[in-house]
Amino acid sequence: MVDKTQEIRIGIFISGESKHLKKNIDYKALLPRLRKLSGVVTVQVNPGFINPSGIKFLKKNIRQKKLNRVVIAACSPWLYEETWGDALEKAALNRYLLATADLNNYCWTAHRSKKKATSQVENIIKAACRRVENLEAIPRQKTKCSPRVLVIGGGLTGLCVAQGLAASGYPVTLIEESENPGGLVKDLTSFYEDSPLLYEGDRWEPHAIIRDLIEEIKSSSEINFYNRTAVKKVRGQVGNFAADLSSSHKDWSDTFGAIVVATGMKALSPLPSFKIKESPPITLLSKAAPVIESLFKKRNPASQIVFLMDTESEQGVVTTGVVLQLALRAREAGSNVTVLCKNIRVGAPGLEKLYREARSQGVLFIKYQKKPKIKTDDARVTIQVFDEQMKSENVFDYDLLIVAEQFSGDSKELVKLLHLKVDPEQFFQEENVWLYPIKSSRRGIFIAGACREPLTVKQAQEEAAAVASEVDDLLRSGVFIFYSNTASIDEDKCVFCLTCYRVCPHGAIEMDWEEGVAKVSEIACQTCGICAAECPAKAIQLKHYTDEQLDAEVGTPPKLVIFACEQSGLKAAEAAGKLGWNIPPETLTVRLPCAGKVDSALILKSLQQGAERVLVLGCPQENCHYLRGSTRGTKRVNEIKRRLQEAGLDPERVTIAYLTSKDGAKFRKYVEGVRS
Amino acid sequence: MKSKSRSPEKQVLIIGAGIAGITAAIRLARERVNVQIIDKEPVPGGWSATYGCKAADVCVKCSVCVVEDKIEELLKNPLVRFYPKSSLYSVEHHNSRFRARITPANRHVAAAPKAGRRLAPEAHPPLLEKGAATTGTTNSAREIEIGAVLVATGFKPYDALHKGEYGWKLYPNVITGLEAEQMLLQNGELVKPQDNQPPDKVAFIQCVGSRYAQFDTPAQIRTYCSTICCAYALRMANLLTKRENPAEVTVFYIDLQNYGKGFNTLLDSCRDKIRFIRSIPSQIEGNSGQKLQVTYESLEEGKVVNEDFDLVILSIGMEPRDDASLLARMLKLREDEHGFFEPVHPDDSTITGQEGMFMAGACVSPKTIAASILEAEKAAANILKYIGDKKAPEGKRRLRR
Repeated sequence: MVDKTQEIRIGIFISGESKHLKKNIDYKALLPRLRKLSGVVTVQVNPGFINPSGIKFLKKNIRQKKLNRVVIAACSPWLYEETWGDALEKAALNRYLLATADLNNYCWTAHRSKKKATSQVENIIKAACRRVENLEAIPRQKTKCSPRVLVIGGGLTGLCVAQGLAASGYPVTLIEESENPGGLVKDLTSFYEDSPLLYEGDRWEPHAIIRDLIEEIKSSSEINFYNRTAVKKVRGQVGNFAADLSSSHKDWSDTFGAIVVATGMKALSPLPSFKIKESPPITLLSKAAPVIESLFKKRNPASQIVFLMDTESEQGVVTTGVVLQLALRAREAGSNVTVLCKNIRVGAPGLEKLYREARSQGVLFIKYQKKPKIKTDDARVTIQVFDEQMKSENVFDYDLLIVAEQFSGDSKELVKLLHLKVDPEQFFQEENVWLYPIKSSRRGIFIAGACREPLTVKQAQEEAAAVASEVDDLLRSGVFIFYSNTASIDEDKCVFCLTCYRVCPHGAIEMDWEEGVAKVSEIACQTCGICAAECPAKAIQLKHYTDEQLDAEVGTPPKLVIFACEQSGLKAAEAAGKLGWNIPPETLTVRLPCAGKVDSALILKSLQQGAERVLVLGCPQENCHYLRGSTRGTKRVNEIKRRLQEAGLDPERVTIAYLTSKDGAKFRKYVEGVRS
Repeated sequence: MKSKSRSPEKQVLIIGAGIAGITAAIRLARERVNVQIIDKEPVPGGWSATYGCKAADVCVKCSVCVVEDKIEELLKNPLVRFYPKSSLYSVEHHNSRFRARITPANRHVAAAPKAGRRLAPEAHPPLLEKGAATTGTTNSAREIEIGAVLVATGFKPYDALHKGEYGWKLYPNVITGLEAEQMLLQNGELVKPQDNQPPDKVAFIQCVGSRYAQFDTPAQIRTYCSTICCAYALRMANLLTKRENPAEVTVFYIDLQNYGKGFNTLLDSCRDKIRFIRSIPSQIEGNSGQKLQVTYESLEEGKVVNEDFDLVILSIGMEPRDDASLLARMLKLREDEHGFFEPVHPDDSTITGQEGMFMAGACVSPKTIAASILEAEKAAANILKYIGDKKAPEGKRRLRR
């Protein structure tokens, strides 16, 4: 609640001396009108408020005129909000008592008439003033965080992460489910034997990397390694995760600042789907190297060998590399080699050359789409396959069938334990471009290595480096300093319905079963406001975007109201400006943290107060910065449409559209579409 | 944010402000290292900033929006100094320091690539105009001293003129994948350049300038896969089929390349909407009207087929920049047979073999945006280790227990 007894003193600062603005805005007419607004103490026009002299000017004015609210109108203001926030704090004013108005798109070319452009600028500054009146100070907070890091999985990625973090001075607990560290890579020697993968000339031994890493980790005083250990429970939030760990001989708990998931992937045998079993003529790719080496020892090695790839989903460069290596090796031994695949994957350095080499050595590649049929007796395998290139059904007899394993994500329990989600192929990390490469939906939990997608050794090491840097960035100072501009729950109104718990994409809502209320972890909340919009009891408010503040900003709206996600819609408006198109007059753009924050009441109220059309702009699905915000927003808009139709109104008055920050052209299309 | 130290040993020069350079710069600056980043273009972002979003209602993870985000973060960071329109004149290495001379970009050296207009992405003009604090001026040559160098000079798009049979530049409705990307950025949709109308029938021709060894001159032999073209073609094809009146899309290909996470999901979702033909067309001819006649060998029918399309997109790949060998000589980098910079370590493609010099991104090998980001993270980690080890480890901040 805003303290109504305190006198509101607003200062308006217009960063408006650029040639476009000067040309299009009639300051002589504008400034007196702004000065008459209630609460406005001063209106200043300055060449810019981002250079040191502008900042100084801003601070001086705040102090001298005893301002307690600031409105800054500038081009692309969100770029400088941090700078201005710092300036406000130096002038002893809370940084959240600032509202900005984006001048960028309102006045350059669209408005031929100076008068119209001026009135448009006046409107957006007025909206900012309405907003700023209701803003509240949000205090700065400090929490200590543990410097300890839990790394789950002692494979290549886990070892590299642990090594990287220990080198920066973080105490690391490294746990591994099996007896020995090293994961899949430690067995790679059997995969590749002596043949160098991808790199000619240099002998490359992945197991040597693992050996060195293990030695380093055993000698490091910062790393505690536990084998045959699993996580049983994880509570708490970033900075202070409390994890229960359990090994074969003891159970214990510890507190960790961050958790790194590097559990690797699982190799699944596709043999059951063909109703065949491992037998002398049938083997899996990971076990094939010794078999092929043994060909060299046979007196009469001439045999028919077939490799089968892509049995379920299409495989990546890792499998292709191994298959090509082994095929060449078998060819060397004098065997006839066939590779059955859907597509050959050569999208990594060196692989195309290897493929060409294999072809020139006489390895036969058959590309299929339909699943081949396999029959076997004890000595030979018969494969019936439809060759897509020759368009012919072929039946071949082979002495040896080598089937490539399918890779899949591992540890379903861990996903649940950490409140994470998996992608359609059961790998960790749900599909969202903002999580790539190594983030998870929860702050402080990172995902690296083959548990998020099948990777080469090189990529796994790159991801490990990225994780070590991110963890360092997070925990470096030992304290989290943050502003609690988060969601907050009114305990009196909360009916404990678990809606917020279910919709929060970041696992930031904790249920207090004793008190019977939901609580928001201020440190884990990523301020998207999805819970606030979904709460059926209206018990949740997102600070800085409360219902009261948004209602005031909308006020008596013009014909078109755009609720724009600040990550996409707002920036796309600017991108549209760069393409030479400006927001038309009689439009109000309301900035929201996410399209998931738009609630039904706000949309209905804007319609009720006079808006003809409401356009909600969010990110495309799986591109939302808050993972499921735009999906939630869509559901809500569809619900409103249904209600409008029931009430006999035009449901098309409310629209939702998706774009990204670069989509200036789409922004224009959507806005023009809504207006016509 | 205060920097760790102003001593030259602790400063880093990044050559090229594409996605790899930007990612490394941000990471280094977050670790409070002073970064100088130079680029021949007036704005940061490189090629990746000229691409458009390919999402319909669901994101296809092309990472183009991530680039935009990173450019913003780069320009906001006070520890990064961006030198636009600059190029490297010389680098000397002595006593664990590099002395680099930066000059205004010589437009003859950095001649606009033939294979596509480069639209200057007017990235945040106000920041560049006004934020003089972060932007260096390069009206004249200047000398800087640094402790480490990151080479992230990127790539050159393949020049489709080499493939005369496809009639690029002859027929307006034959465009390259790069032009299609830029069209997406400009228009938000793919249209026929001739009349700006949305096309009904579109063909993508894959591997134009990749995976090909039958050129006349050895310099044109490309026995590598550019890895990016299947990814962007598939995403664009998907977008075209998601229009209100879906276009009929055909993809002519050799093999579809798995670009990583999300590939199988996207492929499964659009497999039945797109016609995939495993055949590379031999030529394109413009016939009467605006149609393009594509000649290819049909495996289904077992004969050569002529088919009409409205728009043909040539999925061009990546090649080394024209000035890559010049730079390789200046910095004593190894070049591979195609002209990309060759790493000396099989597992770490950021190591150049020169002390204090690292590399990342598409100048090492063709890469997607996501792969460039990861490689740049690795390069930044290596640089931090290098400049941290070199002197004064007490500068490393340790946590109190």
